[in-house]
Amino acid sequence: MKKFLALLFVFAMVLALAACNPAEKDDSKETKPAATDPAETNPSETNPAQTNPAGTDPAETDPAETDPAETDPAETDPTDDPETEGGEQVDPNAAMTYEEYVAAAMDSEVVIEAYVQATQSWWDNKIVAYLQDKDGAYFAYNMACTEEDAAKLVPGTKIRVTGYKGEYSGEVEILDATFTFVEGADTYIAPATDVTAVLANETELTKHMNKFVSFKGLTVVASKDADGNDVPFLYKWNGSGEDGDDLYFNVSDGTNTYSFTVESYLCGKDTAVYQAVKALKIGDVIDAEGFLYWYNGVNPHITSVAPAAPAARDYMTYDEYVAADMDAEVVIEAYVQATQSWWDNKIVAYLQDKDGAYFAYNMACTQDDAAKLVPGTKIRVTGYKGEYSGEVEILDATFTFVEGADTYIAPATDVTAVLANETELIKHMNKFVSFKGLTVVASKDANGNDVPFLYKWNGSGEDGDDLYFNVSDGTNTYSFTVESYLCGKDTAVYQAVKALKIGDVIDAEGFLYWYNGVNPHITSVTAAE
Amino acid sequence: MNAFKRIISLSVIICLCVASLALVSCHGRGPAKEEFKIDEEFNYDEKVEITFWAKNDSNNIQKGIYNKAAEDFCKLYPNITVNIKFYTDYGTIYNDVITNIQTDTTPNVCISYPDHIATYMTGENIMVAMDDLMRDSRYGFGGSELKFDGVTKEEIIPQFLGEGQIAGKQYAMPFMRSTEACYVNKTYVEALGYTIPETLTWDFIWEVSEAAMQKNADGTFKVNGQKTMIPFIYKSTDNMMIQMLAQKGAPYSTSNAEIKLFNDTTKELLYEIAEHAESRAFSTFKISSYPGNYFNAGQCLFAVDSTAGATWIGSDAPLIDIDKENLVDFETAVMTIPQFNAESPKMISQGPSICIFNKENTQEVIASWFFVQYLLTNEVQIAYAQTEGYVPVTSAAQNSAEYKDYLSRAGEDNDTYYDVKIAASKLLIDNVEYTFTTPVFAGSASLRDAAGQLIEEVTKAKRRGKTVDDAFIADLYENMVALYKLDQVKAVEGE
Repeated sequence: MKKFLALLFVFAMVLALAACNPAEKDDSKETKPAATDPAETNPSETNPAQTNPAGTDPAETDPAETDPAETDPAETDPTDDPETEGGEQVDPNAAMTYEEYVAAAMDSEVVIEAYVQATQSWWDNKIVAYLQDKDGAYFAYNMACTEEDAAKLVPGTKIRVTGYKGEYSGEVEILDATFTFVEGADTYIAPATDVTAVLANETELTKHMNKFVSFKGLTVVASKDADGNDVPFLYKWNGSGEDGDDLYFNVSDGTNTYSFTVESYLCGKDTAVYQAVKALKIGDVIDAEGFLYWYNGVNPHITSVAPAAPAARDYMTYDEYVAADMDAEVVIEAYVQATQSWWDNKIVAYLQDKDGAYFAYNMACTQDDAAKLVPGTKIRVTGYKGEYSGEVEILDATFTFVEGADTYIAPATDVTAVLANETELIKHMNKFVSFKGLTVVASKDANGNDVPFLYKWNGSGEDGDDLYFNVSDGTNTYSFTVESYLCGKDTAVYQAVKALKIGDVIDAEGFLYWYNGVNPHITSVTAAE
Repeated sequence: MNAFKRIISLSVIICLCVASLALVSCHGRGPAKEEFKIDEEFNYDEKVEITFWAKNDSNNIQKGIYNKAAEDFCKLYPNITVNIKFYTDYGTIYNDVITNIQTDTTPNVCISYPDHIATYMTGENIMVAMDDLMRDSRYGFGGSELKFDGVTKEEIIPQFLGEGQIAGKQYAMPFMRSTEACYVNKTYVEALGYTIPETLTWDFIWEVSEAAMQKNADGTFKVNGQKTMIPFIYKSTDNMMIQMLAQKGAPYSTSNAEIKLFNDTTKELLYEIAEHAESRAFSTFKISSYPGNYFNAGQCLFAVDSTAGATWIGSDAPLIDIDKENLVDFETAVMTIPQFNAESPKMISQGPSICIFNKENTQEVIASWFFVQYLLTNEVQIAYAQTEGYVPVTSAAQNSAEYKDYLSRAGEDNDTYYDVKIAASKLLIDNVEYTFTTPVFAGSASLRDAAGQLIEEVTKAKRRGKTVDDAFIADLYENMVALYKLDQVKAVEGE
């Protein structure tokens, strides 16, 4: 409710301003609160409370605090003694470093020197500037500026800015600022920092706030226009605008959706980016550049859009897969080592490459394709990373065969020495592994008798069901399984396990599956050498 | 150890839809059977062999009780042999029955859900309506020729008996009843500063679950000091949706096989669930694994599971599926499932029912009927009810001194008298009047699956950062109808 009231207030302010002075330029900030109602504009699934870099509930940010009427730069006398609240004198010649600026408290006076990267349209003796140096970037909002000086704020120009640090819906900025040109200074145009890899990582991304950044390979996804239709972009946040207004469009990195904006006061309707966004189609894969603005989550002000350059590699390495968040979409390429029985257009596949192994659970698969999933075959799998009772796996996956690829059968990795070391063992999860010299120890059947193996985990099964047997490395006991969908009752391993006796010392091979602890799916058992 | 192998539960769904559809069109192989009529006497000299497909809850004591029942029964009827095949989940029984209907190799007696029996009935005269058998003066309830002290019709809890009526006839005989319980980690909930109300509400569960998501600076959860915490896990999301709708007074289906699931209340509920899926305060069995495992490890505050799963729940549970070293000591409260209106609670009635398959040999059917009645005797009912948080379906068993003594001894040990298990049984006994079932028809099992899958899909989507909005829900509704072939369901006609 508080948020709604805040938005309502700002909306009312907009109406009031529009009514009072219709000729005046529509201030972008005033329109933003309504425009970026998190419930409607995305960054769709991003919880505003989570995306606010300061951790401040956006509802707590009273728009009245940033009311332009109250923060009129004209009221900020640049000749005021730059004294802090504590009375400590600030050296007018000592600008803050970027780190000091970051560390400065909200609402404290700040003095920085940085290089203009871009400005929005000058208006009413104010200007919005995107500033950056080699350490970081700044957003100077409605800086006091004559029209003559505005013309001199060309990219690369170094200026000294004095103002107050503020935050508006997550955007950290300099308010009520004045500036002077730094005479005789060098110039600097920041290169675009590629933030694609950290786009979903709020903590990392906020470190780049306001910087000139680039994004690679994002997919344009639908926005809803005023009639509820799927469209590639909107004029204004809710589609209520017209040509010349801000453009809003959604992009996805395959996991999350983000709202990007072409700020019309930065890039007007005749600019290349404005035209390029108007030409976007849903599904287009694009590269983009712009300034990393924030509004209840990342909301970059885009300055260029182009079709994505072909990626050299468009799937994850094993390390990238391991690093991926749970439930994130993952794309990997690996070699089939084994499959469980195909059924109902699904298949479970044990996959591995030279770096690591994967378990693809119930991957969509036709019966014809299942027959082609012979060991060694390289496939590309797209799915979601998941965890089930400790087993990390790929869920809801589809796959394609990698045409012309090599083949690979992983050798068994001997994990006997790390069997008791879960931290080390887990690094081999899903790999084809071997165990040496383990002793078969008793399992308890339904009647409490000691037996060398069980049909089903508790002995409630019958011939053909999974076999469970316990082995010991002399210290700990482990539950091994012959997964009947992987190795059925007619296989050698199934027969070998049925022939086990308590006390047998065995070597075994299998896939390092997990179920509340290690629980390998055994594919061979032999007497220990 | 893997007590909860999900490959069965997750993969049968589509297969069953296809299989049941095939059943509708094939009606089995060969000429249709004659409707069963009890027009001949049972021949005590003729050898009769019957097959009983029984379901246990991964609980070997239950198998022992079934075996003993068959053994004792066969001593009374030496000409009858009972062969038991054991299953650990209803879905596989359902799948096997449908497969065997095609080849006329169904069992004689089978544990099933009424929803499943309704699908079996789409084959002509596949099932036996037990109404005439129940009334028969010789072999029926309290019949003169029974060789054991059989139950009378009046002794079967009327509500439970009524739940076995399909198309106006008694095709399913209740065997055991259970409901769902919310198992609460009382210790942790109170540590969060909350007092558990007399009746759990959805608002309370959501609020506490979100509160439990607070973390320490090192990334561990404040409430348990561990890196894992899923405050609220629901095992059977089909029940979750069905009960939420019932509590809201919203439609789900009608006895005329009208599908009402895809309504605005469902959408509202999905949005509510989505909110807590996004924060990861809520998850499901299918997505995150068996709730009892998290619960017993102190990684879940609210685990909703069947009362028939009570022996797996709690720090001192007699059955566990995680390493003992991962068990955490806490107090478990057994509560009714969360409610929207605490003054008018509603919860599902569920549990195994028994059905009889029609056979050419009438003797087999009569023998089957004898065995069904034997399963309703006090000895079987009380023994089986004690294995889990079940409740006997007969007043004779419920009111027996033996059963009352059992209920009174909660906590005497962590086996037969495990307090959580007995509390679960009492929960149902105390709330029978608030239980309900959903209409049964060919396709009602698929509808149930769809109800659960709505929650699964929304939960999964939010975890993956996808947008759940009206368009998403509309697509989901459409997909569920297609996936479960809900546009092809129809009411069952009596055989």
